Amino acid sequence: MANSQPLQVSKKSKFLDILGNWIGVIPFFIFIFVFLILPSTNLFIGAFQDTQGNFTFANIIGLQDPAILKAYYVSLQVSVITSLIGCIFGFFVAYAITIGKAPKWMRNILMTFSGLAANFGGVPLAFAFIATIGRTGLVTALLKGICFPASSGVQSCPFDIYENGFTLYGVLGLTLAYTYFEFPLMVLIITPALEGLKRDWREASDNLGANSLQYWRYVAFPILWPSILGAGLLLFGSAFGAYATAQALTGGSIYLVTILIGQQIRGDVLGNPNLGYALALGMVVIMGITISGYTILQRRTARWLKS
Amino acid sequence: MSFLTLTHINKTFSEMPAVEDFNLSAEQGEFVSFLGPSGCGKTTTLRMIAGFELPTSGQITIAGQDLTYVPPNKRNVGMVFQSYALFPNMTIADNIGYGLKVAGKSKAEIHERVTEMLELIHLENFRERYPYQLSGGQQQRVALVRALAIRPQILLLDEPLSALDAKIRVELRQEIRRIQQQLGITTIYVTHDQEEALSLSDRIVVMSQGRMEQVGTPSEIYTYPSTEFVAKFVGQINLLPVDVVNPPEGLVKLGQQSVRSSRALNHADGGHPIRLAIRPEELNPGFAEGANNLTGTVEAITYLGSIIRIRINVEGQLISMDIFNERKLQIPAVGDSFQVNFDADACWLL
Amino acid sequence: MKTSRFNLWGLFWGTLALLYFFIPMYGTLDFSLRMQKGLISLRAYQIVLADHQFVESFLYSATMGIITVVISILIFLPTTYWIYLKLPKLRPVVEILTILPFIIPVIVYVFGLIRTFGRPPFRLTLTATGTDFLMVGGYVVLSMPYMFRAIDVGMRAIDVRTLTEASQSLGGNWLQTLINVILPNLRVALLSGSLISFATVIGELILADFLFRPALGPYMTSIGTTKAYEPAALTIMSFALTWVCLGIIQLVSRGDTSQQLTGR
Repeated sequence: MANSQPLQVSKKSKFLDILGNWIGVIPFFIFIFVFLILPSTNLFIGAFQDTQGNFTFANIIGLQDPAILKAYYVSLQVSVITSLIGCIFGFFVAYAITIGKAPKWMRNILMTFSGLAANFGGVPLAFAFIATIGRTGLVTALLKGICFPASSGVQSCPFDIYENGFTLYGVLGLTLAYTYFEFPLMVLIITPALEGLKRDWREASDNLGANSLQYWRYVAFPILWPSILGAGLLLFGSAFGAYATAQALTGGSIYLVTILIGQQIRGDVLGNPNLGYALALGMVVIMGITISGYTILQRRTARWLKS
Repeated sequence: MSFLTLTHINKTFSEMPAVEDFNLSAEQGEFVSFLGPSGCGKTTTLRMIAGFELPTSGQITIAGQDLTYVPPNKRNVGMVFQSYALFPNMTIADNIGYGLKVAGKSKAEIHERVTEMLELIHLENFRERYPYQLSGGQQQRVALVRALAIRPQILLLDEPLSALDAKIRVELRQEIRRIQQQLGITTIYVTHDQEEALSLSDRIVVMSQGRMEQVGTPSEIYTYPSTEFVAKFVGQINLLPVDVVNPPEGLVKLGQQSVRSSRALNHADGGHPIRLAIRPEELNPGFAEGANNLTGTVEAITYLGSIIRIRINVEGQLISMDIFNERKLQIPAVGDSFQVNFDADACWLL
Repeated sequence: MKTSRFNLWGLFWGTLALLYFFIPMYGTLDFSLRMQKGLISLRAYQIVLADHQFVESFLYSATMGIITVVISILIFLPTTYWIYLKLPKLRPVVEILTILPFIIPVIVYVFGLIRTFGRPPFRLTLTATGTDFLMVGGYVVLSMPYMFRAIDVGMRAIDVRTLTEASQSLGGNWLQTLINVILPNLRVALLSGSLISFATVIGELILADFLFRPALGPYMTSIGTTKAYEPAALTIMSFALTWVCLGIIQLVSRGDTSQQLTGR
């Protein structure tokens, strides 16, 4: 009798102990479960169901529809191109801000605007580009106004871009618009990495007789490439998942996976809601791979740049 | 003709003089230390020799060649950084071989030289390791041979041991000196640690606030400091205000007690108070015939391990005396009356 | 290393970037000022500001923004604090969870929300308040990466563990510590996170559009299809708002804000 009492108390207090340890994070987990886990898993489950709720792979197979494949192709195309442009452009701008020693006023403006532009997207971005390079945009008008007298005596204005096949409301225009927030994002991400390149390393390399090219080839780029690649992946993910800008620019007439999903939510364009869920699942898989790659590369960089 | 010369080197950073009128002639194979507190300009001077800073005026020549404005990667001086600056993306072998690779040497030659360097520091098994896998001391040794691999004319070290534990520091500095002597390479060593400078150098340049205070061998610097700064910075010193009795004879008075210094005043009395300088280890307990004798009371006794420091109050002045902690010693108690003596040669007037 | 004062390469790219930033902005600004033919006027802005639909949708979004910020702080601050002190092993898990909103594009997320909560047993989308409730939840999730990062960075900077131990050794309980010691030191981090979250909510389109709520985003889209000059004015205004938010962040935090701005 006297022995069982302490045992009971300790079991109860142990439970309370554990509860006490976890109580602070319970609200968080409840919230995450309700508003994140639940909707997500529901969606993915729906990808594997048919309209009656039975398990099926039909939706996944249905992703091979030519319209859907085209959408994936265009989405990937736009994302890869903008992330490449954003990567290269952003890297050089970040270089200008850190090592390149652009004048101080330029550096400050660039950093501030990178912060602004990286968060500037969606509808306002579309409007800004329409106002600039749309059919009646400022730059369009300026270019149209550049006229030379031609040999035949008539004025020739060769820079009417819309006459020459350019359109803002398609893939090319979208690429231009996406670049607006992609390269600042690159600047923001890669600037800390460039600052992490210790001055000592450059001096040691100089001291040992290497020139600039050799330094970048053997020391700086090997140290930086995980950061650059990781940032590129992030840029890719950003472009891939974007919706609002494309919608505002093209009114939904462009083949993008996000647009397709949007149409699916609104109305039954595909004839099968579960196919929409499969589309979404496909997106998330691609994004998941992208972000995992980014995280792995981040870890690799952190080791070097922290030392 | 000396191997490394710095002539009237000046460096100003936007109105602030960092180095003023620095002059040095170092012989081939000599080990010279720049010693001084933070901000005294020693590192700046070193970096000018390396080429990372350009002197505002003055000239630097190595082996007769004027290198003042030559870019750092063309000078063939080897530098060991305080933070080691090993390239984190390369193995130890690649780090050491880097200077040879960028110079276009053959793989075989690089391999041989790297092996040679690794043997020098006894890290042959660490060829394929990465810097982060090595301890601080090991990294520093790699940094050293990386600089030596390119067969530089001069070796520069910028406080290479300051980030290490005390014990490793002592081991490593001896190794640095050993290697330096073995290779016979002219070396400039920057440090704020006087023990390092005293134990390693052929000559020391003591610096303060951008200026050279004194240049000399370790024993010259220690035994005959030429300025108050050097006297205070290197080693311990007692500085006692005294009244002058007879300047040419070096006779002064500490309160009521007379003291004679055989080294007379070495500068004209500029109106500032004269002080008697004597190192704590020059004081001896008790009375000695023919020497200076002082009487006072014991204020404090500090136990420093191998040394015991006794502070005595003589006519209101506190004098420190260092004696070896030998077992047979009779240590006075605080409050006791006590006598100390010292030679006239051992003190001087500032 | 020879430090040259001007690096042409850097100057070139810097100038190029500045051009790319400013030309669209200038184009938009110019367009927005030309509502009255041949004049530079603020007419477009006047119309927008006088439009009661604009005022309503702005107020709606602003209110949503504030509620989101408050709830975010209430949930994430104690959680992060707890993780730091008691459950450091949970940190990687929480970090991954807060990255999830980046992996799941917003359009996919809203799809999931509607599917889960628009049907029985929840049926939240049938009522305005129900939908608003859903919106807030969604907004908190969307701003989670930024808010969490901001708080995380702030906590790491102030060494939470030691401060808490000091507070405890002087007799404070955990609530007192949180309010009197931790919170005041996190003011800057919280402000940064709040401002970015607020800016995100104000500019958000997808959630509001697909859930049919009268937020600023859908309003802008509808204006875009019917009017010409007002959208440009709206763009400048939203840009200015973002600028103000970020400006305040720059002002109060003296360090590296790039982590907070990208949420990563």
